[in-house]
Amino acid sequence: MQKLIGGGLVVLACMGGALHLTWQRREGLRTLEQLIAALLLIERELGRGEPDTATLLELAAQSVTGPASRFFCSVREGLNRNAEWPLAALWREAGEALALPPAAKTAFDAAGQILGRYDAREQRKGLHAAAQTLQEVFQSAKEEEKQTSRLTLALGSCAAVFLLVLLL
Amino acid sequence: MNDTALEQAAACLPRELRLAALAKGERGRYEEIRLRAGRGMFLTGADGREEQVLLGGEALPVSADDLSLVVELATRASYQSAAEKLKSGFLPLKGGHRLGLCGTVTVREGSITGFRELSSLAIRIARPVNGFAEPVVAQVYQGERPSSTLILSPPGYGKTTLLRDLVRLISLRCHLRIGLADERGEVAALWKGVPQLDVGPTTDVLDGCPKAQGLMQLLRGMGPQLLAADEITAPEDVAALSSAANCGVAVLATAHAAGVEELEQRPLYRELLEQGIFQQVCILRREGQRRSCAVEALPCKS
Repeated sequence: MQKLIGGGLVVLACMGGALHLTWQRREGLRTLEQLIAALLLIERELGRGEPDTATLLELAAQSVTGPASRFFCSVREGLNRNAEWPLAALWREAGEALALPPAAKTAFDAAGQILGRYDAREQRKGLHAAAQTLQEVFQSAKEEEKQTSRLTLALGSCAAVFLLVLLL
Repeated sequence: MNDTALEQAAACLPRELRLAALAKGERGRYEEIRLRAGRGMFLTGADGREEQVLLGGEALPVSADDLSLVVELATRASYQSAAEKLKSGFLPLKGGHRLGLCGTVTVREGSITGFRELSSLAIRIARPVNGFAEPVVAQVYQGERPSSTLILSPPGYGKTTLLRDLVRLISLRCHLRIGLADERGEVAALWKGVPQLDVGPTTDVLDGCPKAQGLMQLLRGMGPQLLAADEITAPEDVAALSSAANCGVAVLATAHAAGVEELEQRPLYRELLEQGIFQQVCILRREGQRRSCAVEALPCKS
């Protein structure tokens, strides 16, 4: 009976580990998707009028959730607090917490170098280009995630069965 | 000496440049801070001479990136919100100071939309001259109501300074509702809705609006007892002033002219005189560093 319970726990742990890895990757993708949506929102708002950057960051923070929202809040707070820091530096620093893949990080940091530094039209062009690059990174990461999650689950199941056999 | 105006104006400089400007500022009273990419930082004294700020005997290094950072800090990373103001040639800063830019511009549909690269910038330090209008305020505000007065002088004599101080003194002493059409933000320098230069407690400021429209808006919306505007330059401005005068509102305005004779030679101002909008002119004169002003009555038009 004890062996059976132990075996059950091992199976659960392995499956849990595999599911957790899959969930983490999906969360990363979700964050990326939300960042893209927020950049497009900022781009749209810049087209409507000429709101200041703090307002744009506030709107972006409200439109998304989780790490993406925390990112925009953090940049806005930094902007209010650090009068001598350029926005690009605040953006880059807050972006570290997002743990984006390198290609996405480069494109996302580029958006931070554009925001608030040029007229609205130039900013919209730059933000659109950054969002497009992020979208491409997102699509390929999504494809990859589909394959990887199947593989992770399969490996998790195999590991569980293997440990179960060893245990029994 | 603690120069608050210099401190305030230097607040948009990167840290190293700010500290250098303030260190030098302790030894004098400066009117401008100028940054030139590749050439350094200069402080302009009251005599108009520029002094280079040195660091260990060498020119303080200033790059184009430093200039971009100044604009970013001055606009709080919101160039898009400030772009419209920059088209008028300068960006108002907190405290009434002004940031002027120079470099390679971007042009769209024939008008300047921004700067591709910056080569130099100038921060003009605002120092209000309270009391400048003291000698003439009693002549502008006589008895029950103010007399419509046109301030005249060639450029650079202090017309805007005199207008601001007249508005301030009339507001402070007579408690009149004053509507100020501050098209370029030079008179009151609004910052987040608050005038950075003292225009008195009872003055309503309309900022950034074309003068003629602004005067009419103030007239309709704010019920002023006195309307003030800087630099009458267009027929629409004259028409708006005429409407105000016809509504029984006194007006204060400025114009580029050395005297009434010069005013009469220009068609726009001649019309202004013929309409009898102003009862008097206040002429600013300069002898060396000394400035003086005197009020002259205009012939009555009936």
